[in-house]
Amino acid sequence: MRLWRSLAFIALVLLAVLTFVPFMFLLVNSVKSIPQFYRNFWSPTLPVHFENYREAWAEVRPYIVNSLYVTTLTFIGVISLSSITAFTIARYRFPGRDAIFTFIIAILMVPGILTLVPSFMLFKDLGLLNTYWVMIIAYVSGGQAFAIFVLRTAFAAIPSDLFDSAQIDGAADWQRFWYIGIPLAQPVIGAVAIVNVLGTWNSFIWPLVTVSDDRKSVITKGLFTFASQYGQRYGAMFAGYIIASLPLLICFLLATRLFIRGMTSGAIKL
Amino acid sequence: MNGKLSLLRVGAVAILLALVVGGELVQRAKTERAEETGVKVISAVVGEYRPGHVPQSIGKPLRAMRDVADAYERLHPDVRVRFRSVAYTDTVEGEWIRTQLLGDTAPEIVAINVEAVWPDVDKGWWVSLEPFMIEPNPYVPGNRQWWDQFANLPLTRAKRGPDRQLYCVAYDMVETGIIYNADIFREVGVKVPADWEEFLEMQRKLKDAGYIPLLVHFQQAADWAQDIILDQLYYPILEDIDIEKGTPEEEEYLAGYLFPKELCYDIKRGYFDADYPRWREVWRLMLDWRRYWQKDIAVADRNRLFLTKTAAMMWEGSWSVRRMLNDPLVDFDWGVFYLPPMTKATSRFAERVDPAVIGGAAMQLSVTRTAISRGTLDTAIDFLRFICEPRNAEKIIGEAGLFIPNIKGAKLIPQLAPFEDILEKRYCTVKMLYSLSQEFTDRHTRMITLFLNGGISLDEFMVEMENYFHTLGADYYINKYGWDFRDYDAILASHGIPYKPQR
Amino acid sequence: MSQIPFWTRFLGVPLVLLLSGAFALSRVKRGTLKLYLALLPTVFLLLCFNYYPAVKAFHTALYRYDIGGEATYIGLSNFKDILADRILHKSFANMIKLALFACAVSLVMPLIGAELIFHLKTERMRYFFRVLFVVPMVVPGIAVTLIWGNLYSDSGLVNRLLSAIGLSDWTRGWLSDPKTALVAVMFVGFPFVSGFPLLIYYAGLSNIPESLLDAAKIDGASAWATFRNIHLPMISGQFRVLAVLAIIGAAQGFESILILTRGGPGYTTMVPGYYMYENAFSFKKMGYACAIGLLLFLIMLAGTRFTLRFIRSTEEFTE
Repeated sequence: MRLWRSLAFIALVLLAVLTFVPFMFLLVNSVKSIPQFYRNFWSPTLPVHFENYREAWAEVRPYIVNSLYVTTLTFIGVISLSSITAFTIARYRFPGRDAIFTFIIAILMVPGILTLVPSFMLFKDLGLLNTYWVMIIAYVSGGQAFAIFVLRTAFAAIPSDLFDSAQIDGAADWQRFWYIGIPLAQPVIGAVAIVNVLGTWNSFIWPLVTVSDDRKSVITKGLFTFASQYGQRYGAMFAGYIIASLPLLICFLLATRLFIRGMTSGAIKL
Repeated sequence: MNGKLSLLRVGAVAILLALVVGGELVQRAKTERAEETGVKVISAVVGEYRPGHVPQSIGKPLRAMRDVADAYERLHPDVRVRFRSVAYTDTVEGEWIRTQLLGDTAPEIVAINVEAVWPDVDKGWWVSLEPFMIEPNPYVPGNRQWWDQFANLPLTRAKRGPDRQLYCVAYDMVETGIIYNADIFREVGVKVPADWEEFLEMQRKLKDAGYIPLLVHFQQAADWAQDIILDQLYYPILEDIDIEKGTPEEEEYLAGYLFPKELCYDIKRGYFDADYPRWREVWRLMLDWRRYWQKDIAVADRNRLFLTKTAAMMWEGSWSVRRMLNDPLVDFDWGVFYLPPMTKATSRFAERVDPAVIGGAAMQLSVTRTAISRGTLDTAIDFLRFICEPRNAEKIIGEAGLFIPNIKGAKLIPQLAPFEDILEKRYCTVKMLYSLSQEFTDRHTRMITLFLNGGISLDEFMVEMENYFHTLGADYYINKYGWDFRDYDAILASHGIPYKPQR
Repeated sequence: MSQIPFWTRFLGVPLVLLLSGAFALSRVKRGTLKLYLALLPTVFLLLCFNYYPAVKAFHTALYRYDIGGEATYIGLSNFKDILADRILHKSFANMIKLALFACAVSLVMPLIGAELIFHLKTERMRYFFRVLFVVPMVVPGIAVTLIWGNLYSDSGLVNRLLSAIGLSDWTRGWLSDPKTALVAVMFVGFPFVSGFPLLIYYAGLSNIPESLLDAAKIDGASAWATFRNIHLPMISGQFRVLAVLAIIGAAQGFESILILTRGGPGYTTMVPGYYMYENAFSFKKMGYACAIGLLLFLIMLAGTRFTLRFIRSTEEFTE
């Protein structure tokens, strides 16, 4: 038994190390100059080039606020709308329920490239190009299908007894949603939130084609500076990615602590 | 219910953040709306010369273009010039420029390969520069026509599209060359080859000594290698295949080059069919050469192999000079040479022709329809003329040190001198990947890569090529432009040249 | 485009909703009306900003269209071309191979990770390892493909390892050799333990009622038996979701192929997603690209239906 535990632990450590390699690679190479990078792909080199961070920061700084704004509003929009919708679909029966659900997740199967131009034209006709809304609306709308798909399962997995007893106690629908549904689905909401924030933060095609105004561009635009036709500035680019991911990492650490917790006993007793 | 409380907390924080940030942004937007009235703003995407860019990722960020633009703004106080960076995801020619032109939000000036401009000309997306080229450049005293400014006029004029209109300013020139590690050469006892047989022999010696003889990427093989080898074998029969001579003025740059229409005609005549020995020989020679390249020709990271002295030679271009000069860790002697000619010993079709040059214009600046819709056309043209002023051009092009100026009077940095010599050579017979449709180019590149990696045999490849050369290549263009070749047939008849390939 | 003012197109949507709302009102009890209202914002957003472009895109499949140019109606001609397009057939074959492999590893590996974490003794350890697997999610795709490009190159880790153990005959250009390119692309991302599936599995595992786990322990069930009979059924809901997402992801994604091989050599690593992209933006055959997209969509729809039916949901286990 002891043996299995140790082996399992070693296996876990191995997986973690292998999964972490790209991140270490990013860190180690973010302080290399290109000549150093050409000669040493993996190992750290001296001298350390912290000016990569200075350059990356200069490129990325103007856009951070924009990214924060867009991502935050998107996050609020997606999570609130999709949890309400997912809850409704998961816990209630009404005509057309399954049709509506299929309707929602079918969006996931439409190849993104095809809708790029029609969506672009749509926002253009609405006069929303070069605004924050072209990004926020598109992301909130686009993020829903995925979130609803995942959240529905989470809400559906909550044992009915909890809701029934709450109903007997006279709780309204929204109270059951807010006081029972949300807390119990927290781990999954957290996971969905992480993915959504990550996706919004890192998306580059949509902002690239819809927002040409530098004052509203997002971080990914700043990171493009480091890629060009004749070669990528990997050192500064990686530094840029690290800087860009710092807000994300803070958010993840918060989310993991707040949302992904083991279930404490008490509420769930069959 | 701890979880709910923290959720509330997070939610509250998020909303607060949104409000604060939103407020800040509204502020910003308000102040910005106040400025910039009565001012003409032109935006430009200038490729490698973008201010702040670090070409080849080595050296100091560029600033010459910005300095020149500032000088321009001082001369014209009502104009602002902004430079935009664009993601080089796949190519600028991909979805970015298409959506920008569709939404009419493109910059006025865009650095783009003009071959990507030609197909979209009939949508009115690009502005023809012909009328402006015959006017004088006001910034160059004594200049009669803007045309006269260009050092390599044949190359500049050759950038005209199938409709004989010029859509770009060919600002500078680029050429390829083989960069070699002189220390390794000394160690193994080889020298710069004088002909193709010597070339193969010294590569063999390098391989036996444990080095990768030559680094080539499949894109380069399909593009450069094809054009050079084809030129080596087809130049001797040029009089049979080169139909169009044009007017005496065009003769200068049309002679010896197969324009799309000529290429399609020759395809139809059978000069690229599976049973044409000369064409087959091109590919036999390339496959023969491939064994001296690195195993993985898909990996783009060849610099590493060259700089770590794993490889002796690398087929690169004038842009690498900047890298070699600015890399503080380069600790070996290096030089540049061009490919040597093929002789009868290499192939019975070769006739020791001095290898042709395949490079051409590097930065090609085109003007989009945004200039017309925003009324900034004159400003855009004027700015282009300003950066064509020799001293300005010298500053901009010289600072980057990547390409050779195409502007008369703009001096070249001394380290690029070898490339200037190379550019003096004759232009190649055809640039196969830039002559026909995008789909053809894509298919051809893929098939070449497959062939070079042993995915199909030479016979299969020849048959496959004949197929798509006719369908995707010639027929597509013939249908698109409605060409009939009676004029060409007449020229053949009058010169007594047979229709079908003879030799 | 037509001369009808653009905003009238949007009149249609609220109109439809209003009409169906009125219809629903007359048919159903009052209680359910508020349910439809709760769904309204989502549905409205999706209709306007997702369905409208999607329908437009699929509609374009009936045309020959070059972006920015004229759209010519050609009926089902694009679909006839699809039937004859050998390249497309090959890319579908590639996609299936990639999808099968991707689904297998991306469903299994994170589960293994989640299980291993779940069995750790202290909450601190569990938190630590969860963070360890979530942090790499911020690494951009380009860095990962760069790493793998290097691993596969001539002097990369893979070749060096082979030479070191005496198998230098096996060294090759992994991404250039038509025989190995597809497999090489498949393995990018090893060990395939990505953060999101892991978190989802973990959430599922931590939702398993203590009572069940205690009962199993009392009955002396082995870890494997517990896993098979308790864990798996209880997380099958998550499993279904992740399976569908994996299929959809594998069917559409092509970023690493784009960077590593460009679909080459030849067409050996070409996938429909990339082929669509090329047709739309490089070959000026947007109509054809949309037809392929429509086909992909239908395939994904069928694939997910099949998957959902095949894997039973948690509800069926607990009720």
